[in-house]
Amino acid sequence: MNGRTIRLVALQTIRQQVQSRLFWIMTLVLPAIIVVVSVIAALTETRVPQGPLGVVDRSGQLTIPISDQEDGLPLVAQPDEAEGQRALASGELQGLLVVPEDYLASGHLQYHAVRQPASGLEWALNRFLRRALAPDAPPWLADRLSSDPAWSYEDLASGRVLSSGLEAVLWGLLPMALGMMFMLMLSTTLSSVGPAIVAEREDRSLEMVLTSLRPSELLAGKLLGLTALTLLQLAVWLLVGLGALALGWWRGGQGGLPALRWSALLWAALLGGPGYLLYAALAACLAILAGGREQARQLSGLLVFLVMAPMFLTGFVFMAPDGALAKALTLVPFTAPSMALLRMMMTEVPLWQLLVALALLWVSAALCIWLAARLFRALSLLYGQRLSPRALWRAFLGRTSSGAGRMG
Amino acid sequence: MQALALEVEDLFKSFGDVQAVRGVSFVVGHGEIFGLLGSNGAGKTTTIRMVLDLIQPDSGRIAVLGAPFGEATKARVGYLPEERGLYRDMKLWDVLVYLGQLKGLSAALARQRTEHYLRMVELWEARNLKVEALSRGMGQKAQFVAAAQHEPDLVIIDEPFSGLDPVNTAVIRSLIYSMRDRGAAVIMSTHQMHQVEEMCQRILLIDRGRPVLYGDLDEIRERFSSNAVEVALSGALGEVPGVLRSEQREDVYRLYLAEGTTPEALLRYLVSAPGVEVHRFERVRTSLDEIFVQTVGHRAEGTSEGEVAA
Repeated sequence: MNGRTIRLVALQTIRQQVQSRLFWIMTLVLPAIIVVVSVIAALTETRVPQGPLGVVDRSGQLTIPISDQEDGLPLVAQPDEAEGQRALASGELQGLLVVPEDYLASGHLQYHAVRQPASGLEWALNRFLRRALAPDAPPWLADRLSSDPAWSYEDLASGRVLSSGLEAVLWGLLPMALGMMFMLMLSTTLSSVGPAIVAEREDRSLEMVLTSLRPSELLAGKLLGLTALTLLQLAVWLLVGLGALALGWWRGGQGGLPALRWSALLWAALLGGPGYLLYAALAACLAILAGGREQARQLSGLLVFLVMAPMFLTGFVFMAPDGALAKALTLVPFTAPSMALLRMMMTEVPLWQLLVALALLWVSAALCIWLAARLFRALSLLYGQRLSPRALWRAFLGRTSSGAGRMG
Repeated sequence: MQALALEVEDLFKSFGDVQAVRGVSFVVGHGEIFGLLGSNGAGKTTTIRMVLDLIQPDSGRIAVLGAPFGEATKARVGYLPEERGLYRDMKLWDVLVYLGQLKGLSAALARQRTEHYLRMVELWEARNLKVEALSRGMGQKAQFVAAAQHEPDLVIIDEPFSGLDPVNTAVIRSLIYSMRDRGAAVIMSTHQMHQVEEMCQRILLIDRGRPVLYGDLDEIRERFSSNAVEVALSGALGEVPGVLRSEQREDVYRLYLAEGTTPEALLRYLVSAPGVEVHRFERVRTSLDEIFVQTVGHRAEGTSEGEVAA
């Protein structure tokens, strides 16, 4: 195969895709969602009611200050719930906190408000409630009581010590997030593989192009270009995701950078590469069989079901991350990348399983690419002829002379 | 000695029970415009596709620029297929530069040649249009640029003039002549016989997959000549010796000569005939259209398939 030709086709594929609106929609919609969610979260995070909040203490255990301005909460004690509800209905209060009789035993609380409570309110009320239980505590004790403890976790597998909160959550969720990202990436990019593969046939330029290169070079160049574009998309998503993460980290008052689970990132890259190639080659096969751009796009929808299969089985896997189903799905090439990453969140996936999954992925990806190349060759041999399944099959077997043909 | 641009020997191809090409042989030299003729479904496009390695022949031998069609020859061959099409959602400029690079041109040279040829076919102003926005004629000229810009040694053009107006036809024709003049072999498959008569030195006529006429166009026309002359004259033309029959249209006579009578002898007679003044005298040449109809028409009526008349 000619490397220069493959590179030219790859660049041409990239140019074509980048010029399409669909590519930019696919690339920017997810980051846009992340940005919007992050902005909304940032805007509403510390928002607490500007007006007074009523408190009815039926437990009689709380010493309620008339106003607790420390956390920006203007609290007003209410004689009873009926009076509080009346004040709430008349707009004198923005919310009403009812502390039941059994609060100390049950910890239950009721909050009444005309509108959804602002985020950050619960956190501020928790601080107030803890301090209200011990109003006479010295300042150092009051501070300790009203603040959450700072935990450190040690991950014995990696020996990594993690601080509580966002860092620990990130450490645990990263593999699953990567697995989900892999599924999302495939779901959004597979629809562009098929149309790109059949572009020349549909544009009636295949005959001309095939006098310049081999069908296998055309296919290889297209897959290479599409893979490069997918990586670009992924890079955009990751950058925006990491940006949102950094924003959250910074707003949380954390110093330095959160610890990243590099092993999860490494396995995501190792399994994701052949995983993408496998699905792209399958999409190419379906597109060749479909023959046209629109049919190819529709058929790629079938593959999305396969891509999302691990998602539907997440419940079973969460219940038994080392069970037979989870192990089997880790080894099956179609589900291996996402399932291995999902399991990493809950368990230590044995190295042998990851290595076998990786080997099977590469073998099946290579087989699918070979199959796609044969079908593509058959497609080119049937140029100008009716693309019936029988004719395609015979061309695939190399019996091109016995298909129904159009002469000229 | 320079090898022939194309040698095709005893080519056969079947699709199922249909024999698309049966024993086609021909050669094309450098600096020649060669006509590949035949009615629809005759086997021309199948032959071209086999030459370009798009489909495999069942048997026969093909040598393109001295060797089987392969990597080394791809960049030296240009092709304008009958089925026109370019990447429709891309700009014309991008498409042509890409196709030029696929034919082995460097990026800089591809851009240079694309500009040169786009100006030549008067499409420079349309270079930033998407292909889907081009008119049929513009698209055809653009595709011609794609087939010619790498300046190939062998160019195969299938129906190059279909859908073109007279102005664009002249543009394309001059481009074909320029390719021939720099030594390229041009194979032109077309139905437009007057273009073949004007441009081709040699032809191959295929009928139902079989070659039926092959050789020098002048010789073929000579062979099919009806031994008639056309004369414009004034005066009364009585009975003329050596003429079998005559047809008159105003003052122009078409005279069919008897065997043994030459046009020269007839001219001498007319010039010396009293009361007759000859204004124009020319030998009637059988048109390629007539030859085509005679040859293919006869065969279509079920006459036996003979050897190639060469």
